[in-house]
Amino acid sequence: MKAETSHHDLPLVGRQVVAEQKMFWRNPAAAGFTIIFPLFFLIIFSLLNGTGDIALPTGIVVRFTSYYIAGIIVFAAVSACFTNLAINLTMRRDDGTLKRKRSTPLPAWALFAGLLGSQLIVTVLMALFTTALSMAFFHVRLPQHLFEFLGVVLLSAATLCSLGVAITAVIPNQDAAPAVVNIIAFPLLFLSGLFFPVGKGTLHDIAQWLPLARMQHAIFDSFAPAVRHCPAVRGCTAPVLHSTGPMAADIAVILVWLGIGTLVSLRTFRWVKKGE
Amino acid sequence: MTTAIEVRGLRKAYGDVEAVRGIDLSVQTGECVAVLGPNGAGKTTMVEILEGFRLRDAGEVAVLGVDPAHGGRRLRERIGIVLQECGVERFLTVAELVRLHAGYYPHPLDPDAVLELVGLGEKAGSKVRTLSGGQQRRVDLALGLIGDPELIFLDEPTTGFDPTARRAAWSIVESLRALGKTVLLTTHYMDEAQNLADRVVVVARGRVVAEGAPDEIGGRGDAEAHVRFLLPPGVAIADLPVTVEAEGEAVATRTADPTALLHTLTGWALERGLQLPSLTVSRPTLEDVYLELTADVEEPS
Repeated sequence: MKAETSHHDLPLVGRQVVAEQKMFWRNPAAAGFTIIFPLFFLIIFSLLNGTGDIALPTGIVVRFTSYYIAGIIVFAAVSACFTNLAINLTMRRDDGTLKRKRSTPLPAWALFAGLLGSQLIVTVLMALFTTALSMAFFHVRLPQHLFEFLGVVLLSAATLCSLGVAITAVIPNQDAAPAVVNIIAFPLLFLSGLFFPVGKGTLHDIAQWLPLARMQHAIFDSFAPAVRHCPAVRGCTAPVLHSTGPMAADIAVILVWLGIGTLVSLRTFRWVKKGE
Repeated sequence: MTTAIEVRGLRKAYGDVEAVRGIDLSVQTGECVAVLGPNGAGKTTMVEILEGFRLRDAGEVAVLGVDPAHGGRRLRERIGIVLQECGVERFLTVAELVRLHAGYYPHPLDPDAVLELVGLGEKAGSKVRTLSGGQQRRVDLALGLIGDPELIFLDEPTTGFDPTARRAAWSIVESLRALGKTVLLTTHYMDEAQNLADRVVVVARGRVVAEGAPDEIGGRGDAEAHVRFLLPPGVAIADLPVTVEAEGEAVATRTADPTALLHTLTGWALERGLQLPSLTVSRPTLEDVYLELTADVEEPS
């Protein structure tokens, strides 16, 4: 992926983003799964547990929906950036769309910048929409640290995109793509406590080294939700949860995964299907 | 005349299999060269090395004066590639797709004009996914042309076309040649090579086994003419003024001087008020020559 830039490269990336956006929203499979699934989970689980509280591994108790919104945003990012991107790229690799792009002067980095930009737009829109929905109906309040909120969402989305590109190296063909990405994604979603907290223990410890739990935690912190019950632990000052400290650790782990995803992608990405 | 493509001693192996075993090829600017060869002969490997998709093991290659292995973006701005069976962004409209690709090149052609040229003007607003196979192939052609390339690679450009669409595609290629573009074409259709190419290169077993003008390759130009007709009613072979042999229901002969032979034969028939039904004079077709040149190559299943 050699970068040979010239003066008209910025509009070039802009046009790629616009084209990717058109393709995303016009493709019922892509848009449907990426948008409908997280919304479906959000609404069903918020309705089921709407008035309930939930205890975090630290003992702090918050409203269930305050906890759940952070997980749903990460789930939406996983759907758009990891699942959708990996399946989409595998299809383009297998049907020769990527090979055709290579036959043009479009630089590889501009193609990927367009994809990244498009998936970031989808993720941010989903984060804003699910937050607005939760604020309107499920007693969630505006993220108290808006700048951190958007920053973490964007960083998470970019990281998941890099992992989505990286994973295509082990996907043999487009028929196998949905199975491979979901078999990786779904256990991780649960292990990382996206849908309900995972109590302290081995699983919880493992999850701390993986990106999703860190993303969920950082987004949860940026919301700084109201605390319903505060045990005698450090850092809990009811009624508002302030825990800016641990966010640095979250960001560090996410950045490591961004680095891993990017390096693996650069080294292993294939432009054509196997055997060609 | 300048050289658009220069290849010397090109070699490429996949593991133990030598796909290309020392190919020399030279294509002049403005020339249209057709590469023929059985599947597995090495022609796709050779063309993909020229296109920069594959790296060679040995040999010298220059495409528009540049090594395609290191040509990068600057070279791709000057060439157009129409690949076989190649996917495309199916959820974009034809016009959106062609405009998107126009934006990749420094001096593209007018997208609307290119769509008219390939006969997709009416389909500009349709999503690519709704097009028929032949129409999608024309999209491929439009995307290969949009950058106004100096050199165009056409890999089996009319496979799957109906006869009308093939004629239309040929006239597009002819109009490219009129603009002075260089065209390197691979095809399985002999009539396509015959109609479009200035020169035909036959590749078999990883080597060039013959090259020349379509009318002259493989000794076609000097080959004996084949004269064939049906015996008029009541006439025996022995009655004829020329020596012929039975060939099925007809009779035929080969001659290096068809003018004299026909003069004798038709003069004789006219004197007697006879017709020579189904009279034909032919030379070996390009296909005859091709099959002879590649006869000992087994087609992989």
